[in-house]
Order: sequence, then C-alpha cells, then structure tokens
Amino acid sequence: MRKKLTVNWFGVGFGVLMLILPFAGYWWRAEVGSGAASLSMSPFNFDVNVVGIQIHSTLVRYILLFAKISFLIAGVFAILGSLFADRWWAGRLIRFGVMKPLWSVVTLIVVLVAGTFFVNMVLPSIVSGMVRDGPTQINLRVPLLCGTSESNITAGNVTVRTTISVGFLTPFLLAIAAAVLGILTRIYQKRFAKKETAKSKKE
Amino acid sequence: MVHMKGEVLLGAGLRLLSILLVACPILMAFQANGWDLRKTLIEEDGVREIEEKLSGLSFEDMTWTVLENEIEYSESAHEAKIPINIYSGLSFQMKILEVEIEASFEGRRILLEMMENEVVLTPRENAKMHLRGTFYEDPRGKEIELGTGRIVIEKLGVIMEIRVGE
Repeated sequence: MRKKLTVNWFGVGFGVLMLILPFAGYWWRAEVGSGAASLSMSPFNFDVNVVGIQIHSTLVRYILLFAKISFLIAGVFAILGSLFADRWWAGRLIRFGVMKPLWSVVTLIVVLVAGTFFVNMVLPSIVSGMVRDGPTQINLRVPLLCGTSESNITAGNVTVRTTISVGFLTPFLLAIAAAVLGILTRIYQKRFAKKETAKSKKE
Repeated sequence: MVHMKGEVLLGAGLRLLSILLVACPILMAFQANGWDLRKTLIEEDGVREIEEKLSGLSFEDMTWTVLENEIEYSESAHEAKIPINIYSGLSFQMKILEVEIEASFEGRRILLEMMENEVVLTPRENAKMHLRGTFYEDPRGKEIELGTGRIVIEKLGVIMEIRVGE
C-alpha cells in the first residue's frame, strides 16, 4: 500500500522564504541629508556609512553571519520537517526556527522604537552637556520607524540643518510574510502531531 | 522506546546547535581581535578616517581675497559688484549657497550679498564669486569695513550656516 505523502505546505513555503531572507537585503534604512550618513540594517546585514566611509565591527559581522547561518539551517529543517510532516522528528525540526522571523521582526521594531526615543529625548541633553563652546540648541527629530523630518543643531555661531529620512525596505515585507507563515506552519503542524499521538496510542 | 530516545537526542542536539549559533560568533569575534574588547566592538580605522575627513572642516583653510582691480560700479544703479577669489584648502568639495555680509562704507551700513545661486568649492582650487551691494558713491580705491555676516554652505544635503564676525 502506497504511503500517503503528508506535507505541511505552509512549512515548505516558510522554509523557502527562510532560505531567501538572508540574501534579500536590508530591512530598514535611515539617511541623513543626501548621503552624509546612513544606517541600514537587517538581522543579517548592518551598514553604517558616514561621509562615504563605512564603520565596521568584528563582533557585529560575526553575529550577523551566524544569524544568516541560523536562518538557513532553520529553512532546511523546516522544508525537511514539512515534507515528512507525520514523522516523529518533523515537529522538532520545524520548531527549531519557525518563530525566528517573528522574533526578528519584533526585535527590530523594539530596537528602532527605543533607539528613536534615545536619539530624540536623551541624546540632545548628553551632547548639550558636552559642548561648552557657547549656547547650544539641539533639535533632533528622528521619525518613528518611517518618515522624513528636519533636524538642526546650533552651537555657538554655527547652525547645522539637515533632513533625516527613515523607512522600511521591501525585504521587510518578506520577513513579515515569513513570520506569518511560521505561525501558520506551527499551528498546522500540531494536526500532524495529534495524528501521530493517535497512531501511537492505537499501536 | 526508540522514538523516545531519538526525540531526546534530537532535542538535545537542536538545543546544542542553538547555543553554538549564539556563542560561536561572540567567541570567534573576540579571538580574531586578540580578546581586545574595544577592537572587537568597533574597527577604529573607519572612525579615524571619518575624523580626519571632518577635522578638515575649518574655515581657516579657506582664503578669501577681494579682487580690487576687478570691482565694477554702476553710477546709474548705485550698485557695486565685488569679485572675491576663494581658495579652498579643505579636502572635500562643497557648495556655498549664500553669503551676506554687513559692511561699513563712509559712515553708511551696506549689505553685501552673493550674486551667484551657488559656488562650488573644489579642494585646493580657486573659485570666484561676486558680492553685490548698493553704494551711493564709487567704492573703488576706498576702504570698505566688513562687519558681521553669514555664510551658508552645503555638503551631501547637510546645510551649515556660519555667522561670522559675531
């Protein structure tokens, strides 16, 4: 008797997205002026550029590399587990990485909100305290998550004005899709787990 | 029974994999930089390069010379056109968008304004601009006292306004 192929199609889709995401590009970008400075980030890439010069961090580079590897492994596990969804090991393999995109999205948003709050509310008072050369007025307005605003800093007889633009990029939509598919995969996989439990009880 | 053993082993293996994926990058990063915290957190070459580039932003590196022989004066319009040669010793290009200087000439206050929409300053090259002002007498050959003013420059979308003489 031919064994019926039990496939968790949500998991297959999720696995494919997990293999694509690490190479899809940045999720969010902030730009000061027209290239004066920029910050682009995703869980796999982080780029800080000031007047055309990149700032690197070995620690960040390695952490992002392993985040990439982690997503790729999770993608392979999800595809394997989903193609053989009724096997005893399928659920474990799928659970390894099924929530990773959701946590990545949530973490990014939390970091951005906290960072924006810090830059807008806390940084101006720190910088004011450091600058002793004449009166200082700092009007920093970084948009929350998405948008464009003008900021200016006056120190002594110099005023610097610029626009700050921030926003999510297209790969972020892929990440949200992966997060949603991940949740659906997990929920759908429970059906196979229930079937497996019922089968073992019968035996 | 076999299933249970397999599940336990698989569970332990996946947990170990998760720990390794978190711990390995941190250990490898520190090991690559000789366990130096500062070097591991940020590569200082980039920061130094930025500091060098931005430390050149000093207006002592700019020389402004009035080309007195080329001053033009229109009696009918009471307008003088004063050419200025600017030499930029800075290491990067930027644009001058506005220049406004209050001058004093024969007891009168005159506002001198840049005529051009923008003047591009190329590193270590001369650039020319013209200041225009209303003079009721021919200022050529006479002393013009420069007072306060402001210069607006732009670089990569960042606009800097400098008030001079204050």
